[in-house]
Amino acid sequence: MKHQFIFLLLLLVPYLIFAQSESKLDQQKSSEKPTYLEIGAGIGSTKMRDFATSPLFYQGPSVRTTIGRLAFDSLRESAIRFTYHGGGLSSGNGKDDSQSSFQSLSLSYGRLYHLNAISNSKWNVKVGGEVNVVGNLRGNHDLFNAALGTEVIANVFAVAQVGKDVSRKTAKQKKFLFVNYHLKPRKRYLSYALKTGVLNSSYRNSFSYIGDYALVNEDNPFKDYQFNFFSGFRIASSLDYTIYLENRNAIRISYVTDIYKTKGDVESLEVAQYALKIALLFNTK
Amino acid sequence: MKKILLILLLPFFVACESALFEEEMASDDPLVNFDYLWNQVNDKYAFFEVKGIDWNASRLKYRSQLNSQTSDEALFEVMGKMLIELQDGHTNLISHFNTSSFGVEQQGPNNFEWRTIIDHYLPSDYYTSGPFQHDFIENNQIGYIRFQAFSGYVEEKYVDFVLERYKNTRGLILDIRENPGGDGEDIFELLERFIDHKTLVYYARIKNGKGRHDFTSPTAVYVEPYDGIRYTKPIMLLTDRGSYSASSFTALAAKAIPSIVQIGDTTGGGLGMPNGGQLPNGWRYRFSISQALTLNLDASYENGVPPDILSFFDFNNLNQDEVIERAIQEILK
Repeated sequence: MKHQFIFLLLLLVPYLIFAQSESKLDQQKSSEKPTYLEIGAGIGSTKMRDFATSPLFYQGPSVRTTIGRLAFDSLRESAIRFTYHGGGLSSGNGKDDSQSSFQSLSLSYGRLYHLNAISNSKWNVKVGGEVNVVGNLRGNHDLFNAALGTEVIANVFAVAQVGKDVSRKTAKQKKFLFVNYHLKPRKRYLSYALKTGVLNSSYRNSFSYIGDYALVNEDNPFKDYQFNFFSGFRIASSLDYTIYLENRNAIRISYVTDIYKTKGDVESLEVAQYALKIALLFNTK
Repeated sequence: MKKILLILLLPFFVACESALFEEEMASDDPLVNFDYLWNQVNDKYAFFEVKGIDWNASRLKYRSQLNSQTSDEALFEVMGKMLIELQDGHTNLISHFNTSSFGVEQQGPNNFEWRTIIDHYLPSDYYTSGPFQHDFIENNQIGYIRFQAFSGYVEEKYVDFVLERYKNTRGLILDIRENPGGDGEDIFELLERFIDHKTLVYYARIKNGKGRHDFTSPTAVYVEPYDGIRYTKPIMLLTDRGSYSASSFTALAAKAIPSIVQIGDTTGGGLGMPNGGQLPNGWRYRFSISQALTLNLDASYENGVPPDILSFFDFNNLNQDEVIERAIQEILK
């Protein structure tokens, strides 16, 4: 219980820091910051290895969907997102190939602030933090009583984002083969965010991986689970290309990566997820 | 600036995990796979000391039969034999061409013949209620219940019907001979019907480290009486060496329930819960990683839960089941 309390406090630290910073910013600008409802979907891949059950990598195609609320301008941004990433994986071992399902749900909240010291007229640099909690559910019938794997990975990220306005400022007349076409001025923005886990924790199966709850007449499948604090690593990134439409909405094309590994007393879990996704950003303010 | 940025970012887009994860471990090398399996068992198997197994000697004995050119079939045979040294029915090696196993039921004489029971004890239209085959025997004085597998379907509606039907009998025979086990939750769905107060039935512990003595503290396992139809008159639990895993758990727990008498042969054991895993070549394995302990914290029932009354089927006379006869005698005494 004591550990859980400390863990929750640590998760709150970034919020406290950001809240303090925000109070110093101009409240007028805050109220003018555009906000968007983000609905996105994409395709990608997952690569996973859980040493507790297998030394083999499982990999395969995945789908990724997100829904979130974004608020951003040139000085600040905040985002809260709910993301699903899942698919069917294979160990790819010929006649002894095994299949595994992999589903993950994550909830994240992050804030970024303009860093004037290293920004210039071309590049806008923002830094901040993000709290991300992901829960995985994995199924592999070939693993008998270890067929079901589930864990929660919780991280606090330090985030650095660099962005550049790549808008088409003036109308252009173009020609492709024999076709002439007209390009209107368009606001566009390219950004890349790199997220590095600074507080990494996991809630995962214990040494023997499977719990004995059924044989001790208990209903709690997490009886033998354990927290591992300040262990493992996680690194994620997002390359975003945002095209603003005339109706104040926007389309965002992103390439996202999320790579993590648990450590601690039990055998580690390695996961890498990649996805190319397209999101519609509906302006709500 | 753009080029520099692209160069810096490129590694994050192309298989970034290669630099962050441990090395690829997939391998068809016989010795690599042998060592992997031996180490997994060495770190996690729960009954080395209970069974007096010298696992290091097993490594020496079997590894020397392998080299890097050993064929898959020969490798499987060697590793399968090594696992059989564990004398554990919960231990298997599985490939696409074979499955190794330890024949628990062959460790004792055959003690069950279903044809004798349906020919000489049950009526031809005996009832089948879910996982239970049952009917009255001995002039309606006793209910006979055959329970052939812990299939996970011990549901209230079935148990209610069976116990309600035999509520006026003098006793029940619950026959779990040659029952190989299955869903552990069924154990408690049954036993909660046979008690009238919360009962400590056994202890359990699970491996929590690589050492031979690295186990969790024993967890006390209780059964609480069912709030509904129960049966607390004498129950004869029939067992043999084919009564394995969940059947052995039931027999172990029954030792703490005074109304249940175990008759027949020692069970097959299987009081460890098997895990599941995979080798670098994709073959799969399982072995026991937990222990169930008696109320005296003794783990030796892994080798079989002994009966309260020893009784054997006489295959020279297929018109009679001596084990059932002994159970009838015990109920009607």
